[in-house]
Amino acid sequence: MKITHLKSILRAAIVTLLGTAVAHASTSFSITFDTSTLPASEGPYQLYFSLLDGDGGGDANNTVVLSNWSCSGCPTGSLSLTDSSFFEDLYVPFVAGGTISFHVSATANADVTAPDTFQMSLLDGALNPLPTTDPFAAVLLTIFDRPAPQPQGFGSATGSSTPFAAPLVSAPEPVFPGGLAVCALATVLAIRRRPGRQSCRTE
Amino acid sequence: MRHVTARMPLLLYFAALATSAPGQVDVLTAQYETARTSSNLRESVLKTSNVSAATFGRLFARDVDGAIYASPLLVTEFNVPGVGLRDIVIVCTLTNKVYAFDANDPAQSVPYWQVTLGAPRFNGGYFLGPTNGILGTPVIDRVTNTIYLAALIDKSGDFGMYVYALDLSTGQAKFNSPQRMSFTFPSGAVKTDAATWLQRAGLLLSNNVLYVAMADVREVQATTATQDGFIQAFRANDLRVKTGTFQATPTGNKGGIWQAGRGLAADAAGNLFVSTAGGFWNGTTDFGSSVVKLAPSTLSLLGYFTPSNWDYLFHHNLDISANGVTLIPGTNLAFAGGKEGVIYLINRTAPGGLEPAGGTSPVQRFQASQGCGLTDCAQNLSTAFWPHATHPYLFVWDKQDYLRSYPFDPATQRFVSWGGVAGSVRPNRTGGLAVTSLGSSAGTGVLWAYTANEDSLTRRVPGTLRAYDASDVTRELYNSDENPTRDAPGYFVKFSAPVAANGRVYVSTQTGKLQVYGLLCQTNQAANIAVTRGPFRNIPGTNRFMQQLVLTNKATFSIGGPFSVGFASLPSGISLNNARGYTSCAGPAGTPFTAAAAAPLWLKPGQSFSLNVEFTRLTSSGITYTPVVLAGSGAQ
Repeated sequence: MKITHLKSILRAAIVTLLGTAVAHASTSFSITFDTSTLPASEGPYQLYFSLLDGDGGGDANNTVVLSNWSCSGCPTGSLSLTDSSFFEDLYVPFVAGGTISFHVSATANADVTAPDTFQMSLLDGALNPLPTTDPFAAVLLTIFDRPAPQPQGFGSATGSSTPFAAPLVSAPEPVFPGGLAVCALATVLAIRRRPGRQSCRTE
Repeated sequence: MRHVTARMPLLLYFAALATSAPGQVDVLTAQYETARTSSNLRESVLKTSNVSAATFGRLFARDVDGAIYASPLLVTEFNVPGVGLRDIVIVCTLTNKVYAFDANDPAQSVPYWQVTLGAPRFNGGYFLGPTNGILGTPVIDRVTNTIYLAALIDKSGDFGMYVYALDLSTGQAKFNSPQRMSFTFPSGAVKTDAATWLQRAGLLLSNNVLYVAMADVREVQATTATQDGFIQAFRANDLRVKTGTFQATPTGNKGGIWQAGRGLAADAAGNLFVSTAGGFWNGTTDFGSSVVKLAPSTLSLLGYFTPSNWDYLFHHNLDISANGVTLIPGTNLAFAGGKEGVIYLINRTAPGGLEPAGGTSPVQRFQASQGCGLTDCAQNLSTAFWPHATHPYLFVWDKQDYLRSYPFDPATQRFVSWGGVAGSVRPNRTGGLAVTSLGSSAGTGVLWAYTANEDSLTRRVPGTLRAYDASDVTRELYNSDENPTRDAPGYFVKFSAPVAANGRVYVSTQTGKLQVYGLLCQTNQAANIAVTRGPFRNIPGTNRFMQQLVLTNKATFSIGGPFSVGFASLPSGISLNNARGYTSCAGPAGTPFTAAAAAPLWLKPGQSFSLNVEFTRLTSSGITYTPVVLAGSGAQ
């Protein structure tokens, strides 16, 4: 499940740089997520991010960069996911009780057969996803089915023992191509300085 | 210029047919429609390229109690109470049973409903028996969801012919039915004893009037010298009301109306065109051996055509009611013919009266088949007219003769009588013919026939379903004798035509079965159905991935289900969780497929439905595949 984080992120940064040079479709928004209602007894919690390639084979045409983290236990630098295989994911542990915020910048290129899917879920201490009003336990969901995809937030499922509200999602803004490049470069620099603070990636 | 204008009416005919998208066809009356062409121009599945013993055959049967002489009728997307939308087939028997079966689903063998209208009359015959009950093809009104039929019922020796209106949902009688039929002779005698009556001609429903024809109605029951033909008209929504009666030979005798079971024809204005059997003719009151044009509702005589040799035809039992009348769409013409094998082309506005020797009436006559000899052959003259936009054809198949086709020249509005092309088979008996095509599209014209190699008059004999390229009848595409174990229909029914629609062919038998034929494998609809894939979704912590597919009909015709979707070229390590199996005859062999259970019965042009699929990913492979959309009858 674990690989070298630096290698992965460097690859993501390069892909981002190349991608942004040609990409016209993109999105950028901020997330604010109140975790104060999560009972500590069910933790420790993790944010779980995944990016699924709609074409199914990994065409590496989209990258999601997560940056400007603010929370207890969160990474200080940027993280990224690229659909260079069918399924890419990231775990980000955090300490529940406060507010988590971070920024999402993504290319939003269309696939040929089906759109890519970016999803954030919330995992409990047993790594089980907390049910939400989304049938696939998404807390945040972005489908790359249009040039400026619209993120959707979901709160906990009705009657859940681990209640939480849907995250606040800022209005998405298009990203000019250089923005993501700068962001990716910042990611690389951050990782070089503090390589040991990153979360793990599956596969 | 003349050529172009002459073709326009046929093109307008196609436009008139397009009341709904092609592909989905209700068969509500004998020979498909009131012109009685025996042509279904809206068939999108069966083609010359896929009707062969390798790809087409018997799919299933529906068991009934008795022989089926009336043509089965089809109603698509009917809301069966407590079940939902289904395609149903209505089957009537000589035992007076009426069944509503599922028309498509082999597993749904139990009828949605069935009713018994009363005891039939026992006659012990093979030719038409051993009982006589519901003989003529009913007619269905989809506006009021009503089936109209006539049944010969034996009430302890009192034989009555009863006209029914049955609710299509339940089979229960409605509209003040049943009503016992009665006929009044000029002497004042009112006859209700139906022991000898033959209600063979298919019923006609036109402008809220129901027409029922009869042969062998006798003023004096003990003698055949008084047998007569009648048509009676009823108000369709109140069968107590008779609006008119026509008697073929009120001052003579005979002139029964039977038409070898073919339906009474009607034009757009509701005028009837009917052929009478051999009988008296005097040009004023009696019109045996003739084609008559009758007014709607009242059934008053508007015109007639009588062959010059009517007396010969009468006395040798070579009547011209052995075919009925067919109206040629988009023209002002009709044709009739009978046991002599002669086809008469008639002007519908002015049928012409008594044929003058060397005169202008009929418009055309020609020997279309060898006929049945000099006298009394008890046969029909099977015909079908294919109103192709540029190459219309008349098909004729007489007993002990070859199948023949005659082009109809749209420019001259005449049959090319010397253009008959013969097939290579000479069966002892021929039932009716039917044509299917998708409009005039190349490669879609198929001529269907039902034949017997032995004489069916004195015993039950096996039947054979046959299919020909309608554009070239020398080319047989299929016959059920090629694989009799799989495809033999059973005992032949005289005068019965296959009913072909919606990718299936329904064949009646004497042996208590309605046989259903179709393509053995579902049809790959890649050219007609677009698949839009939704994003993959995953439940965190699992290796299960879901995807929603949206299937959209991009064709101009409706596509009938059931629908399946295969996933070709799925990498190893990726499995389809809701797979129903692997393809063996449709699509690439070994492709996992799933059934689209929530799909509509019919996918209309532009209509969509969604299908959720789930994959399990056991390796790091991506989930890539090529969707294969299958539809219609047969296996995957």
